[in-house]
Amino acid sequence: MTQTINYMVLPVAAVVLPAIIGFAIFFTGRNKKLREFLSLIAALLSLFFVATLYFVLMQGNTDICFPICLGQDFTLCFRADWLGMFFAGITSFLWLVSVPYSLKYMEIKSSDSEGRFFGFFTLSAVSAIGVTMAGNMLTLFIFYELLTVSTYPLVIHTETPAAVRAAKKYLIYLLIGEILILFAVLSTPGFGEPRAFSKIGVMFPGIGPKMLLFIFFSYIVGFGIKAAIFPFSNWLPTVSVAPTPVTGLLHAVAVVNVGVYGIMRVILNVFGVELTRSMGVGVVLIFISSATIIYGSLMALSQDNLKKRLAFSTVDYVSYSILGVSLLNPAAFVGALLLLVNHAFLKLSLFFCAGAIDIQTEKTEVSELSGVGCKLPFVSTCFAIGSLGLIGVPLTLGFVGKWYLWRGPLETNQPGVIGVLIAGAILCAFYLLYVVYVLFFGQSKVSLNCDGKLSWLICLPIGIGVAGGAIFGVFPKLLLPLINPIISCYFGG
Amino acid sequence: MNFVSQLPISIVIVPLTVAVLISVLLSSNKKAAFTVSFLAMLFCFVSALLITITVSMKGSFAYNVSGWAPPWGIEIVVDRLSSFMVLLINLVGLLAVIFSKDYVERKLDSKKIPFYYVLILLLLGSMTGFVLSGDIFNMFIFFEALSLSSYSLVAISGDREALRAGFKYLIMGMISSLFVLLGLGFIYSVTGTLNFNQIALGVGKLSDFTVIYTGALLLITAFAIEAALFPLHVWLPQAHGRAPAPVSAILSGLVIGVGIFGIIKVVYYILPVVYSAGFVVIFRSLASIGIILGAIFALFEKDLKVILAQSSISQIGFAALGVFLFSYLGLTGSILQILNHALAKSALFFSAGAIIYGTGFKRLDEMRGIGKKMPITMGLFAINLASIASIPMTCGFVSKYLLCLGAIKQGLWGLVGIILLGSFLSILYCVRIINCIFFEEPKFKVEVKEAPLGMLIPLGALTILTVIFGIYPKIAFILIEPGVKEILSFLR
Repeated sequence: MTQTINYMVLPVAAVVLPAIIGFAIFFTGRNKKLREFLSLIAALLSLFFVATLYFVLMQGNTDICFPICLGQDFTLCFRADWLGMFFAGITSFLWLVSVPYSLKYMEIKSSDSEGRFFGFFTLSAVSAIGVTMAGNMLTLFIFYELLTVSTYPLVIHTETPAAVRAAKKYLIYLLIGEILILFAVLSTPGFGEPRAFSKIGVMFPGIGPKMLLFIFFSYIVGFGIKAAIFPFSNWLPTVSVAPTPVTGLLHAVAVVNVGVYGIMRVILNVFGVELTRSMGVGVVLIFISSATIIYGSLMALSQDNLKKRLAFSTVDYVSYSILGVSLLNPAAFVGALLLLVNHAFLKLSLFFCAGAIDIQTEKTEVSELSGVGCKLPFVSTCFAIGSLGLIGVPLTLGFVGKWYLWRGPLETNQPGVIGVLIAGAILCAFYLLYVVYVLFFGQSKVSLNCDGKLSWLICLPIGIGVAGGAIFGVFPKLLLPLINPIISCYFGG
Repeated sequence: MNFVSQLPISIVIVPLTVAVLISVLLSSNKKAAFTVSFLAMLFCFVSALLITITVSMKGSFAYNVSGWAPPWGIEIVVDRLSSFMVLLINLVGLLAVIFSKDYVERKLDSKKIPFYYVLILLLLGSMTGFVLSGDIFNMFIFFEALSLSSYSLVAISGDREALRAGFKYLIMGMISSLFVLLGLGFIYSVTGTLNFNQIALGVGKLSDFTVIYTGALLLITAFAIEAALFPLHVWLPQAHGRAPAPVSAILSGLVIGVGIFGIIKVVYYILPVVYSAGFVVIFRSLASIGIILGAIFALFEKDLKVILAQSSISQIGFAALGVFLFSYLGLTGSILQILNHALAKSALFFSAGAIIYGTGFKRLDEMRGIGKKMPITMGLFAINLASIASIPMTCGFVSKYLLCLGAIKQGLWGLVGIILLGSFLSILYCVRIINCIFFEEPKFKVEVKEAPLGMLIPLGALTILTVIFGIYPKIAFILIEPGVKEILSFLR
């Protein structure tokens, strides 16, 4: 019995302990060493708990659930299942990777309120993990909103007028989404009960088909705003004014992934695959995500600012995963998850590369980057490898993921989707390879004043990100044991 | 039990007596005035705590003043809901008195300071009396005392703006008192009693409801003036904005909540039939308009305290809306909202007071970047703003969540929209304040220090409670739930 209780509290501990450390960081003041130590410990702790939970799951314990009853219709529930842990794993690993980078980056950029920055940085990451550990929609919503609130001070951190404008835009977009979600959550029966997530979805007794559609789209638009679906994607490029660790970890990994995760939960756990299929909403979702892919790619092509280009590329790329979910096909779903991993690792590195280039040369526009490749060979090479991985050339995870994703529309015979996928891949190649081309082969007009020496704290996270993408690309089997249980849970077999 | 049964009367009498004693004996000794009123409030708070514990364990009880039974004597009724309100009043009151020490020292004429404490004690004592009264007539008397001390406190600084605000409040308050008097006359004329329990029994036997409706509506209108419900809120922004900060904290945090409590009593004890009544729709829409308009005004005001006052109109609209939902969730949400508002808004006014104390700044644009100079005060301020903005993990989220859920369960989609829109707007005005205070470069020339400990303690205590009730609302539910069920049983 004691052992049962032991692992039941793991999901709670994975959220609460790092959160307490996050609060402690606010009070570190001028004590820089302590702050660095605490930031690292928080990330390590959460990775440790996530790894332990994975271990427990693999032992065959599927029901790791810790409900905290707070009142009628008000139960907080922490739970670890395969789908949630998959996202928690990505977030907590990349969080740990990005801690050294962000410490170094903020030191170079020398800002005076680092306690505030790292406190909220930790809290944001914790909230993102909290969303994935949520056992019912209410808990999910609470962490979802906390994520928005705790990223706000990070976006506005530099306190420039542009940052203030971006933060306001960010907040208004996401709050509208949250209001829609809150409405939908409250209309969902059993949202506040323990163990509300089931394989087949919840029943909606006494709710007419029109209302059901309304609830469904409240959810989708609500979560979709965070996942930056068209036409609600404009906040994501705007907030790229935030410090690079924030754009990298939070806006390319944690925040958008949480959006996708929400959509997955809604389709798989709230409505269930069967009901979603019978409502016939898959087509709408496919249309929206296709539109987002095309829109994101085209916008990325037209951006000169490197971080904005990468941000639009995020808009584009995340929609592949949404597309993969909305096809309601096991193969496409595997593709969706693989592409998420791929995107998380590689986009984080690409953003970190952009940050490193910014630190060294103070250049942020693509057109100014000519010849950086010779000065910063490591960073530029990583950027090139990362780009190839995102485009999906063979031997990368992007290739494997897209290969699975393609099987979906082929099996269900949807040629339009294939067209979108081809167009997306070509556009993606254009907007990323152009940057690589400029980096290595562009004619340098102005002399760059940089010594080419980057701290290993900057280089290591970039390297790990790219290496992760590459290793999983060559050995995608490493990920399959984590994905297969999800597929067999929701799609049977 | 015997000891506790004497507490309800002493909790009313002690502050009133001490107030008189201060005005007679200590009118020139401000230190002693503070000490005595602090001790009086400490006594009241401890008694309120004992009363609440007793009631939640043994159920409600009544106290007949000097042994006369209800139709003739004065009855003090301590049920679960009123004991909860009494605890809240005396908690915030005690903290406000502690906060006042440093504040009035610097901001008030030293001759006025003892009288300031006299008025504060009168205000708190009469609020407690109002809540504990078992009959409308005593409610009226305490209401009158409450209002009189409020006007004087608003105007106590004596400057032009404050006098004008106090006068406006006085006019509205007088109208409100007259309405109470008129209303209780109507009710007495048909039921022959003024005791709430007996009215509740008598109403069912009436054949014609016209008179009792009129009486009840008059009472509701009167209390709505005190609770600053739209469109009777016009006095509030000026009064709460101009009063000394600890007074604003009491007025905004407690007095309007007590107004809502009065409405609850009238609606659930006196009104004969509520469901079919058309005026329910009117009250719901008025509360909704108040929620939205208050929030919109708060978005455009310049003075920090006036922003907070406008936000009170919006926040108390939520509480009123919950009352008029006539459901378990609605009423629980409403009382939690009173609790949340009492904690958070008082704390916000305390912080605004700490800024005024330290720097004299009142307008938001003067305070740019002050969060970097007073990190502790402003950090606590931010947590309380989060509660007003109903961010999860604070008390404000729980109350609005319950209200929204209540509206959804009853299928009132319009009200759901209003509640969600209202919370959205409240986040916007809170973010506006946060942006200004934390994310701008300080431009002021004055040297700014952290607030003194005497101000940080009350502020911190309220903030801790806000967070505790937000993270673990079960404590609040345990206190409120039986009371709400008790009151709902009166609903016809």
